[in-house]
Amino acid sequence: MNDSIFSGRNTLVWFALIAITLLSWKAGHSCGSASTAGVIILLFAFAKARLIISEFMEVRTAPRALQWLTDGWIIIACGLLVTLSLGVFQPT
Amino acid sequence: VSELKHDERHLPGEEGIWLFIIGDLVMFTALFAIFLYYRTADLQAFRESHRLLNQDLGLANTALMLTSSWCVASAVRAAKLGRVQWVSRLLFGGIVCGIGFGIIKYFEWSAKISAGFSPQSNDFFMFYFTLTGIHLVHVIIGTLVLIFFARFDWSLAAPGGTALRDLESGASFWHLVDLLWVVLFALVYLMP
Repeated sequence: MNDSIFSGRNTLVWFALIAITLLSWKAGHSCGSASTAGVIILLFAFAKARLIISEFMEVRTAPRALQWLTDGWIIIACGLLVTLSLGVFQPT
Repeated sequence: VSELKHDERHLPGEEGIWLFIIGDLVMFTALFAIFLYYRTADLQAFRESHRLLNQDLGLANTALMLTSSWCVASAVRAAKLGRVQWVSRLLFGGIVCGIGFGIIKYFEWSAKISAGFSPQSNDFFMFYFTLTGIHLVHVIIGTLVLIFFARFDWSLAAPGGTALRDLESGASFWHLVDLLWVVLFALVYLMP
């Protein structure tokens, strides 16, 4: 039904967000390398952030300028935090 | 999405709330970056302290945040569809999740403080209390905003009036609180 409150995309998005959360939980408790797990967890977190922005915040249908701005934030913040998590910048 | 014409595109809420959201995202990104910078400096201590966090409570709070966002997004959808009786019900669901989040945070902090941990314990706990504290302030403000909109009689809202745009502004703020938690949970609770 097209006009139902609950059968729209929001419910699918909620399932996807919960699924990604459980996957990142698993990544955090796996036996692999800690830095690899850290990168995977960050990538999952920013995938969730983008889903929340484009779907729940309805940026998907918002003016393009806002889409560029929020996608720009995702790319810069995700890139910055992944780089820092790898310990590239060692404090002296 | 790309087939939408420019005039069909719609900014959810006020321009001002988006200015605030972008500013808050930039501020939190800086805090997260500083956290990781300090983490690199003392990785061993950060990892040992991180293992002392109650990850189950963090996971429960993540589920509450995501579910509250679903409630609020559904409330906006109900308002747009004219299903006025559902708007306040769904916002109430979001409020319950927000209060539940605060209660869990209270027990989590109490357990840490009674175990002798404080922001002075080490850098990790300084960041833990500061980041979750600033976020909790957002949750409290967001819950009050949801209560304000839940008390509104949505059957009186004029179609195309300002009530829906104001609700979209409040909802966008709530989703910001959700997405900040998602990144905070990954950084502070999950990263091994």
